[in-house]
Amino acid sequence: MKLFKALLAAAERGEAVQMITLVGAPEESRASLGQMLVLYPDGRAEGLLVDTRFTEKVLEQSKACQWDQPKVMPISYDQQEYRIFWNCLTSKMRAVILGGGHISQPLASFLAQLDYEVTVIDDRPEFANRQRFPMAKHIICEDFTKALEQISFDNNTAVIIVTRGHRYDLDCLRSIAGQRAGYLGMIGSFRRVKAVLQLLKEEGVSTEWLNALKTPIGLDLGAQSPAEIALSIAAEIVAHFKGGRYLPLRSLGGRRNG
Amino acid sequence: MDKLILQRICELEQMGEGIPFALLTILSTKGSTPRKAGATMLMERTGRTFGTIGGGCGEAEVKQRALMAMDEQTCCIHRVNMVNDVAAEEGMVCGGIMEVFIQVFPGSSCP
Repeated sequence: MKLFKALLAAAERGEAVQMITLVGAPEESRASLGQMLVLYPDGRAEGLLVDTRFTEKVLEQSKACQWDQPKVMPISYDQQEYRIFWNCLTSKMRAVILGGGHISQPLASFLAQLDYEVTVIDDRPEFANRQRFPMAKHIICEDFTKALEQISFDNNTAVIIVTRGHRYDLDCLRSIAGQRAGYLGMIGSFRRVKAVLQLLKEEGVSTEWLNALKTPIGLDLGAQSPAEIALSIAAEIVAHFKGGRYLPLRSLGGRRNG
Repeated sequence: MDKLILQRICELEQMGEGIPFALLTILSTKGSTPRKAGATMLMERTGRTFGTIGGGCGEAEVKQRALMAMDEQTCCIHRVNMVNDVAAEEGMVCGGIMEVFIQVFPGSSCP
């Protein structure tokens, strides 16, 4: 039963491992119910469903189409009907919070609760430390530009710029200009944000990239306190990654997602 | 599957061989249900659970069935109907149907 150990290790590495479980079988094959087949991103497969021929058939079928959502699939085999459930470990979500100030603290807490692996960066030791951020996986106390050189982003990364001043926000933006991330946002008042964007444009940063930058960040919750602002940012991040509509459910009249 | 659930399963397996548990997975849903396909929950023979497949009476019903499945050591599918009158009386007013796979470990039929 080292299957689950391997799955846990894969989950910790953030790998999108696929799991196929036999959930329906004719009477004579009922003993096979619950058998699992695990597919690793490198192409490795582990486990057996029913028998080798059945397993190969399932493998072929799973390779022929891309996994998009958890679903049950019927399989015809030897004139019998089987059902498999095709699921995938959700890939790890990461959040990189640039700035360790008042908003960062509740933001790091919210995002950690939401299962994001949180990294906090600030150049001031009195802000970038374990006491302030016990929930963070990584705390980097370094100049923003230097710290950002060590970090890469992907489609499952949220990058949140909440430094203590737009001078530092600019440093961050210059360091990551052109890089892709799942969510990229910067806090600020409309006026200051406009000035920053204008400056970067003049420096040659592409308009397309600047347009993808969410700024100012957060939803309109009427937020005032640092925790309220952090909540509005976390809410926007969730809606962004989950394809939400940023609206009160009651205004949708039952037309909920999913 | 939640990392928390995987961690607990690994803990259980480390405690000793043959400790019974059931993995409950929502296979499909119709109509309004609190959680959708892919949501998982771990249930131990003691009744302790990790994660949720939606809570409330629907989840309680599946847990009941899972205890039986653990005794019988067989995997099965349980359908929860939250649309009929009984469901409404019990306060399950979400109004949907869900299909849950009860996967029993260790079982004659499970890996």
